[in-house]
Amino acid sequence: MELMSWHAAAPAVGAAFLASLVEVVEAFTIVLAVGTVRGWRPAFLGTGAALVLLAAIVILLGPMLDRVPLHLLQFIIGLLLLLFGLRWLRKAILRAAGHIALHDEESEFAKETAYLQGVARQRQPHLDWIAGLAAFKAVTLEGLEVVFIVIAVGAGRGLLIPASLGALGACILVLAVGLLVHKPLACVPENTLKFAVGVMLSAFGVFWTGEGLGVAWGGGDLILFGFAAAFLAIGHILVRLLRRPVLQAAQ
Amino acid sequence: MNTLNALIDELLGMFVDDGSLAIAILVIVAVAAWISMHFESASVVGVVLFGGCLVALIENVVRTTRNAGRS
Repeated sequence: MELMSWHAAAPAVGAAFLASLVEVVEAFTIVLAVGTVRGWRPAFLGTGAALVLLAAIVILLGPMLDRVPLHLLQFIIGLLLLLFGLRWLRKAILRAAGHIALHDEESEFAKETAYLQGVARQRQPHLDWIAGLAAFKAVTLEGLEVVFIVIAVGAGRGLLIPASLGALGACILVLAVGLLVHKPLACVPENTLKFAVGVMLSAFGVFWTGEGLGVAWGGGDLILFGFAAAFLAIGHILVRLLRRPVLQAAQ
Repeated sequence: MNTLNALIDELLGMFVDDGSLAIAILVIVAVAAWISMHFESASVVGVVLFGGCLVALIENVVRTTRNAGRS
Protein backbone atom coordinates (compact mmCIF):
# COMPACT_ATOMS: atom_id res chain seq x y z
CA MET A 1 0.00 0.00 0.00
CA GLU A 2 1.28 3.39 -0.94
CA LEU A 3 2.34 5.54 2.01
CA MET A 4 -0.16 8.34 2.44
CA SER A 5 0.60 11.72 3.95
CA TRP A 6 -1.04 12.68 7.23
CA HIS A 7 -2.53 15.86 5.76
CA ALA A 8 -4.36 13.78 3.16
CA ALA A 9 -5.58 11.07 5.55
CA ALA A 10 -6.23 13.07 8.75
CA PRO A 11 -9.20 15.12 7.48
CA ALA A 12 -10.82 11.98 5.99
CA VAL A 13 -10.30 9.91 9.16
CA GLY A 14 -11.39 12.81 11.40
CA ALA A 15 -14.53 13.55 9.37
CA ALA A 16 -15.50 9.85 9.24
CA PHE A 17 -14.87 9.43 12.97
CA LEU A 18 -16.83 12.52 14.10
CA ALA A 19 -19.74 12.01 11.68
CA SER A 20 -20.01 8.34 12.65
CA LEU A 21 -19.93 9.30 16.32
CA VAL A 22 -23.06 11.42 15.83
CA GLU A 23 -24.87 8.75 13.81
CA VAL A 24 -23.94 5.83 16.07
CA VAL A 25 -25.06 7.74 19.19
CA GLU A 26 -28.47 8.30 17.54
CA ALA A 27 -28.82 4.63 16.54
CA PHE A 28 -27.60 3.50 19.98
CA THR A 29 -30.39 5.49 21.68
CA ILE A 30 -33.10 3.60 19.75
CA VAL A 31 -31.47 0.18 20.16
CA LEU A 32 -31.11 0.85 23.90
CA ALA A 33 -34.81 1.79 24.12
CA VAL A 34 -35.76 -1.44 22.32
CA GLY A 35 -33.47 -3.51 24.55
CA THR A 36 -34.71 -1.87 27.74
CA VAL A 37 -38.42 -2.19 26.95
CA ARG A 38 -38.55 -5.47 25.05
CA GLY A 39 -35.33 -7.29 25.86
CA TRP A 40 -32.08 -7.64 23.99
CA ARG A 41 -33.11 -10.41 21.58
CA PRO A 42 -35.20 -8.20 19.20
CA ALA A 43 -32.70 -5.35 19.68
CA PHE A 44 -29.77 -7.53 18.60
CA LEU A 45 -31.75 -9.23 15.81
CA GLY A 46 -32.85 -5.87 14.37
CA THR A 47 -29.34 -4.45 14.67
CA GLY A 48 -27.77 -7.58 13.15
CA ALA A 49 -30.17 -7.59 10.19
CA ALA A 50 -29.42 -3.90 9.55
CA LEU A 51 -25.65 -4.53 9.67
CA VAL A 52 -26.03 -7.39 7.18
CA LEU A 53 -28.03 -5.11 4.85
CA LEU A 54 -25.40 -2.34 5.17
CA ALA A 55 -22.60 -4.83 4.49
CA ALA A 56 -24.47 -6.08 1.40
CA ILE A 57 -24.84 -2.51 0.13
CA VAL A 58 -21.10 -1.88 0.62
CA ILE A 59 -20.15 -5.19 -1.04
CA LEU A 60 -22.46 -4.50 -4.01
CA LEU A 61 -21.62 -0.81 -4.47
CA GLY A 62 -17.92 -0.93 -3.54
CA PRO A 63 -16.61 -2.61 -6.72
CA MET A 64 -18.81 -0.34 -8.87
CA LEU A 65 -16.89 2.71 -7.62
CA ASP A 66 -13.72 1.44 -9.36
CA ARG A 67 -15.53 1.47 -12.71
CA VAL A 68 -16.51 5.14 -12.53
CA PRO A 69 -13.93 7.52 -14.08
CA LEU A 70 -12.06 9.36 -11.29
CA HIS A 71 -13.08 12.92 -12.28
CA LEU A 72 -16.75 11.92 -12.57
CA LEU A 73 -16.57 10.12 -9.21
CA GLN A 74 -14.96 13.18 -7.57
CA PHE A 75 -17.58 15.48 -9.09
CA ILE A 76 -20.59 13.36 -8.01
CA ILE A 77 -19.21 12.75 -4.51
CA GLY A 78 -18.25 16.43 -4.19
CA LEU A 79 -21.74 17.56 -5.16
CA LEU A 80 -23.38 15.12 -2.72
CA LEU A 81 -20.96 16.23 0.01
CA LEU A 82 -21.84 19.88 -0.61
CA LEU A 83 -25.55 19.08 -0.29
CA PHE A 84 -24.97 16.91 2.79
CA GLY A 85 -22.32 19.04 4.53
CA LEU A 86 -23.90 22.46 4.01
CA ARG A 87 -27.24 21.00 5.22
CA TRP A 88 -25.58 19.84 8.46
CA LEU A 89 -23.70 23.12 8.87
CA ARG A 90 -26.85 25.20 8.30
CA LYS A 91 -28.77 23.19 10.89
CA ALA A 92 -25.91 23.33 13.40
CA ILE A 93 -25.65 27.13 13.02
CA LEU A 94 -29.42 27.55 13.47
CA ARG A 95 -29.34 25.26 16.54
CA ALA A 96 -26.33 27.00 18.08
CA ALA A 97 -28.03 30.38 17.52
CA GLY A 98 -31.19 29.13 19.24
CA HIS A 99 -33.50 29.13 16.21
CA ILE A 100 -33.99 25.34 16.16
CA ALA A 101 -34.28 23.13 19.24
CA LEU A 102 -31.21 21.03 20.07
CA HIS A 103 -31.41 17.29 19.43
CA ASP A 104 -31.91 15.59 22.80
CA GLU A 105 -30.97 11.92 23.16
CA GLU A 106 -32.87 11.56 26.44
CA SER A 107 -36.11 12.84 24.90
CA GLU A 108 -35.57 10.55 21.86
CA PHE A 109 -35.08 7.63 24.26
CA ALA A 110 -38.23 8.59 26.20
CA LYS A 111 -40.23 8.93 22.95
CA GLU A 112 -39.16 5.52 21.63
CA THR A 113 -39.67 3.89 25.04
CA ALA A 114 -43.18 5.37 25.33
CA TYR A 115 -44.04 4.14 21.83
CA LEU A 116 -42.90 0.58 22.57
CA GLN A 117 -44.65 0.56 25.96
CA GLY A 118 -47.84 1.79 24.27
CA VAL A 119 -47.61 -1.09 21.79
CA ALA A 120 -46.99 -3.50 24.70
CA ARG A 121 -50.12 -2.27 26.53
CA GLN A 122 -52.19 -3.07 23.44
CA ARG A 123 -50.89 -6.65 23.87
CA GLN A 124 -50.04 -6.89 20.20
CA PRO A 125 -48.87 -10.42 19.37
CA HIS A 126 -46.08 -9.17 17.09
CA LEU A 127 -44.40 -6.94 19.66
CA ASP A 128 -40.96 -8.54 19.27
CA TRP A 129 -41.24 -8.04 15.53
CA ILE A 130 -42.18 -4.35 15.96
CA ALA A 131 -39.35 -3.79 18.46
CA GLY A 132 -36.84 -5.53 16.19
CA LEU A 133 -38.05 -3.45 13.25
CA ALA A 134 -37.51 -0.23 15.25
CA ALA A 135 -33.88 -1.25 15.92
CA PHE A 136 -33.45 -2.34 12.28
CA LYS A 137 -34.79 0.97 10.96
CA ALA A 138 -32.63 3.09 13.26
CA VAL A 139 -29.40 1.21 12.51
CA THR A 140 -30.12 1.08 8.76
CA LEU A 141 -30.93 4.78 8.46
CA GLU A 142 -28.03 6.02 10.57
CA GLY A 143 -25.74 3.36 9.07
CA LEU A 144 -26.52 4.53 5.53
CA GLU A 145 -25.29 7.98 6.49
CA VAL A 146 -22.09 6.46 7.90
CA VAL A 147 -21.57 4.43 4.69
CA PHE A 148 -22.12 7.53 2.56
CA ILE A 149 -19.71 9.63 4.61
CA VAL A 150 -16.99 6.96 4.57
CA ILE A 151 -17.31 6.54 0.78
CA ALA A 152 -17.55 10.30 0.23
CA VAL A 153 -14.46 11.30 2.20
CA GLY A 154 -12.46 8.20 1.26
CA ALA A 155 -13.23 7.17 -2.31
CA GLY A 156 -11.90 10.23 -4.14
CA ARG A 157 -8.28 9.57 -3.16
CA GLY A 158 -8.00 5.92 -2.15
CA LEU A 159 -8.64 6.62 1.54
CA LEU A 160 -11.52 4.19 2.00
CA ILE A 161 -9.66 2.03 4.53
CA PRO A 162 -8.48 4.91 6.79
CA ALA A 163 -11.98 6.47 6.63
CA SER A 164 -13.56 3.09 7.47
CA LEU A 165 -11.19 2.76 10.43
CA GLY A 166 -12.29 6.21 11.62
CA ALA A 167 -15.95 5.11 11.45
CA LEU A 168 -15.16 1.81 13.15
CA GLY A 169 -13.34 3.66 15.94
CA ALA A 170 -16.48 5.75 16.53
CA CYS A 171 -18.66 2.60 16.68
CA ILE A 172 -16.33 0.93 19.18
CA LEU A 173 -16.13 4.09 21.33
CA VAL A 174 -19.93 4.55 21.47
CA LEU A 175 -20.57 0.86 22.19
CA ALA A 176 -17.88 0.77 24.91
CA VAL A 177 -19.19 3.91 26.63
CA GLY A 178 -22.79 2.75 26.09
CA LEU A 179 -22.11 -0.61 27.71
CA LEU A 180 -20.51 1.14 30.68
CA VAL A 181 -23.17 3.79 31.35
CA HIS A 182 -26.15 1.81 30.00
CA LYS A 183 -28.25 4.89 29.26
CA PRO A 184 -28.65 7.37 26.36
CA LEU A 185 -25.42 9.25 25.69
CA ALA A 186 -27.03 12.63 26.27
CA CYS A 187 -23.79 14.31 27.36
CA VAL A 188 -22.27 13.98 23.87
CA PRO A 189 -22.04 17.55 22.52
CA GLU A 190 -24.01 16.56 19.45
CA ASN A 191 -24.48 20.01 17.93
CA THR A 192 -20.79 20.87 18.34
CA LEU A 193 -19.93 17.60 16.58
CA LYS A 194 -22.46 18.30 13.83
CA PHE A 195 -20.99 21.79 13.44
CA ALA A 196 -17.47 20.34 13.08
CA VAL A 197 -18.62 17.61 10.69
CA GLY A 198 -20.65 20.10 8.62
CA VAL A 199 -17.53 22.27 8.30
CA MET A 200 -15.32 19.31 7.27
CA LEU A 201 -17.79 17.79 4.81
CA SER A 202 -18.49 21.17 3.19
CA ALA A 203 -14.72 21.67 2.81
CA PHE A 204 -14.41 18.20 1.23
CA GLY A 205 -17.41 19.00 -1.00
CA VAL A 206 -15.80 22.15 -2.43
CA PHE A 207 -12.48 20.31 -2.85
CA TRP A 208 -13.83 17.22 -4.66
CA THR A 209 -16.30 19.14 -6.83
CA GLY A 210 -13.45 21.43 -7.88
CA GLU A 211 -11.14 18.48 -8.59
CA GLY A 212 -13.92 16.85 -10.60
CA LEU A 213 -14.19 20.02 -12.69
CA GLY A 214 -10.43 20.06 -13.28
CA VAL A 215 -9.40 22.69 -10.71
CA ALA A 216 -5.78 22.23 -9.56
CA TRP A 217 -6.08 23.67 -6.06
CA GLY A 218 -3.06 25.71 -4.95
CA GLY A 219 -1.46 23.97 -1.96
CA GLY A 220 -2.93 20.58 -2.90
CA ASP A 221 -4.68 18.75 -0.07
CA LEU A 222 -3.64 21.44 2.42
CA ILE A 223 -6.25 23.78 0.96
CA LEU A 224 -8.86 21.60 2.71
CA PHE A 225 -7.76 23.17 5.99
CA GLY A 226 -8.21 26.64 4.46
CA PHE A 227 -11.74 25.80 3.28
CA ALA A 228 -12.58 24.32 6.68
CA ALA A 229 -11.23 27.40 8.48
CA ALA A 230 -13.36 29.68 6.28
CA PHE A 231 -16.57 27.64 6.83
CA LEU A 232 -15.83 27.50 10.57
CA ALA A 233 -15.24 31.26 10.78
CA ILE A 234 -18.41 32.08 8.81
CA GLY A 235 -20.40 29.64 10.95
CA HIS A 236 -19.19 31.23 14.20
CA ILE A 237 -19.81 34.75 12.92
CA LEU A 238 -23.36 33.80 11.91
CA VAL A 239 -24.04 32.21 15.30
CA ARG A 240 -22.80 35.34 17.12
CA LEU A 241 -24.73 37.74 14.90
CA LEU A 242 -27.99 35.78 14.83
CA ARG A 243 -28.06 34.37 18.37
CA ARG A 244 -31.52 34.64 19.92
CA PRO A 245 -31.71 36.03 23.47
CA VAL A 246 -32.12 33.13 25.95
CA LEU A 247 -35.53 34.35 27.15
CA GLN A 248 -36.91 34.65 23.63
CA ALA A 249 -35.53 31.20 22.71
CA ALA A 250 -37.18 29.66 25.78
CA GLN A 251 -40.56 31.13 24.83
CA MET B 1 -44.07 -0.49 3.16
CA ASN B 2 -43.89 2.22 5.82
CA THR B 3 -40.29 1.22 6.54
CA LEU B 4 -39.44 1.39 2.83
CA ASN B 5 -41.07 4.83 2.52
CA ALA B 6 -39.20 6.00 5.63
CA LEU B 7 -35.94 4.72 4.10
CA ILE B 8 -36.56 6.60 0.84
CA ASP B 9 -37.56 9.77 2.72
CA GLU B 10 -34.47 9.48 4.90
CA LEU B 11 -32.21 8.93 1.90
CA LEU B 12 -33.58 12.04 0.21
CA GLY B 13 -33.49 13.93 3.50
CA MET B 14 -29.77 13.19 3.80
CA PHE B 15 -29.13 15.68 1.03
CA VAL B 16 -32.16 17.95 0.91
CA ASP B 17 -33.54 19.62 4.01
CA ASP B 18 -34.17 23.19 2.99
CA GLY B 19 -35.04 23.06 -0.72
CA SER B 20 -33.76 26.55 -1.48
CA LEU B 21 -30.26 25.75 -0.17
CA ALA B 22 -30.12 22.58 -2.28
CA ILE B 23 -31.23 24.53 -5.38
CA ALA B 24 -28.66 27.27 -4.68
CA ILE B 25 -25.87 24.64 -4.42
CA LEU B 26 -26.97 22.97 -7.66
CA VAL B 27 -27.02 26.35 -9.45
CA ILE B 28 -23.53 27.24 -8.14
CA VAL B 29 -22.11 23.88 -9.25
CA ALA B 30 -23.84 24.21 -12.65
CA VAL B 31 -22.33 27.70 -13.15
CA ALA B 32 -18.88 26.42 -12.10
CA ALA B 33 -19.23 23.47 -14.51
CA TRP B 34 -20.29 25.80 -17.32
CA ILE B 35 -17.27 28.07 -16.70
CA SER B 36 -14.93 25.07 -16.64
CA MET B 37 -16.29 23.90 -20.01
CA HIS B 38 -16.15 27.28 -21.77
CA PHE B 39 -13.11 28.99 -20.26
CA GLU B 40 -9.58 27.86 -19.49
CA SER B 41 -9.40 29.57 -16.11
CA ALA B 42 -9.61 26.83 -13.49
CA SER B 43 -8.97 29.31 -10.67
CA VAL B 44 -12.20 31.17 -11.54
CA VAL B 45 -14.07 27.86 -11.21
CA GLY B 46 -12.59 27.40 -7.74
CA VAL B 47 -13.50 30.93 -6.66
CA VAL B 48 -17.07 30.59 -7.98
CA LEU B 49 -17.49 27.23 -6.25
CA PHE B 50 -16.05 28.19 -2.87
CA GLY B 51 -17.36 31.77 -2.77
CA GLY B 52 -20.76 30.70 -4.06
CA CYS B 53 -21.18 28.07 -1.35
CA LEU B 54 -20.22 30.55 1.40
CA VAL B 55 -22.67 33.14 0.05
CA ALA B 56 -25.45 30.55 -0.32
CA LEU B 57 -24.95 29.40 3.28
CA ILE B 58 -24.94 32.95 4.67
CA GLU B 59 -28.00 33.98 2.64
CA ASN B 60 -29.95 30.87 3.65
CA VAL B 61 -29.19 31.11 7.37
CA VAL B 62 -29.92 34.86 7.53
CA ARG B 63 -33.19 34.43 5.59
CA THR B 64 -34.29 31.52 7.78
CA THR B 65 -33.69 33.45 11.01
CA ARG B 66 -35.47 36.53 9.63
CA ASN B 67 -38.49 34.47 8.57
CA ALA B 68 -38.54 32.77 11.98
CA GLY B 69 -38.39 36.19 13.66
CA ARG B 70 -41.39 37.43 11.68
CA SER B 71 -43.60 34.42 12.41
